[in-house]
Amino acid sequence: MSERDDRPKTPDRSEDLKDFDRRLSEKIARHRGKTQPDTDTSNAWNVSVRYGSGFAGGVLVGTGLGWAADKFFDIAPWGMLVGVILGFAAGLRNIMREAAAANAENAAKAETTGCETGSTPGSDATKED
Amino acid sequence: MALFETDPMHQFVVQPVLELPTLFGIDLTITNSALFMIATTLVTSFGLILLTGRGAMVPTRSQSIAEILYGFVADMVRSIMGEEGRAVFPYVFTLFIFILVANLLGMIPGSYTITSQLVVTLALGLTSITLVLITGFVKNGFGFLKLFAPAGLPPVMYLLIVPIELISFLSRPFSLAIRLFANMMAGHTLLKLFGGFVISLSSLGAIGIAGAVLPLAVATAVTALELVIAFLQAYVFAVLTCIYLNDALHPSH
Repeated sequence: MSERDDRPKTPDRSEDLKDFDRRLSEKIARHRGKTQPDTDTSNAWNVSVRYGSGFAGGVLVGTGLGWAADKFFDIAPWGMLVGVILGFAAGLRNIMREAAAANAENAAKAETTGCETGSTPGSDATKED
Repeated sequence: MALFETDPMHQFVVQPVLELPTLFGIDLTITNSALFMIATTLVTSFGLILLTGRGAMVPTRSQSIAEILYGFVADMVRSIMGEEGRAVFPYVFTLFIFILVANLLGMIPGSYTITSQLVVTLALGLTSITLVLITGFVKNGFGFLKLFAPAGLPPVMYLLIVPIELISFLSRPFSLAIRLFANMMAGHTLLKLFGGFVISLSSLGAIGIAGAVLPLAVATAVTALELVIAFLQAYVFAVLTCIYLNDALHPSH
């Protein structure tokens, strides 16, 4: 409210908005920087659930599909046998994908933390103007 | 008797709260689970309407909560999916807010955590994967199926790889669901377990009460951790949904 009283001119408003947008995105970036490092890889429990759920999901779906194949095509033990094995393979595939993602995340994190500490003091200085 | 009161799994029992008649073969009885789903929806919708209702150019404190939440999810969607993410942003935001509010409501003592039910998280996961399938087929047609056949393999290998990739894809909603459900259920069980220790120890007299300080401290710490996890799991669910949607948009991996 007070800002509107201080600057009644229209061209200043758009400048203001731009400035506001910039500061807001900076703030969000800083906010994200604060919250993101914790997301997944840092905590042993999170890592275990991440890999565990991926593997369990694969086995569950594989077994389920095998069971369904048995049911619908009447090929008694074979559907589930093949399904379980493929499910295990898919579960492992999930774990491999998670591990690759975790590696990429770690590499990206190592890069961004270096950049962010460099940029924040400068942006703070411009905000003062 | 004492065992029943401190049973850490008792909090997950679904109980009817309000008995309603069966209409058209659908039992309308409101359970504690359903009650908290309704509460989550109401808190989310009315909360956001109240927070953003004034729509001031210079946001008030309450309005900036909503704006930061919006910006947080919008940035996350943009960083994963780019500008194409605009189309699915409403869904991702809804998903994030719903899980976040459900988790946080579950932190209120005596309330019910709906995300600790596999059925609820699986429903959310299946909704996500349905959207992924629709997005994939609408944007790429049958080119979407390339997702299941990575390029540059000897032809024989496809017999093995395609089913594995297919199962791996179909397992995504399950792994999403298990992840959220396991986190919430484990956290709340732990909380109740330490709370139970405090009760059973303090019933032993003076020494017991002195000993109960330790589990009380742990329970307090776990509560703080649970608040972080409530936020984190909502975020993880939304991020993974975005990643899967991005896979569907660009299936050439």
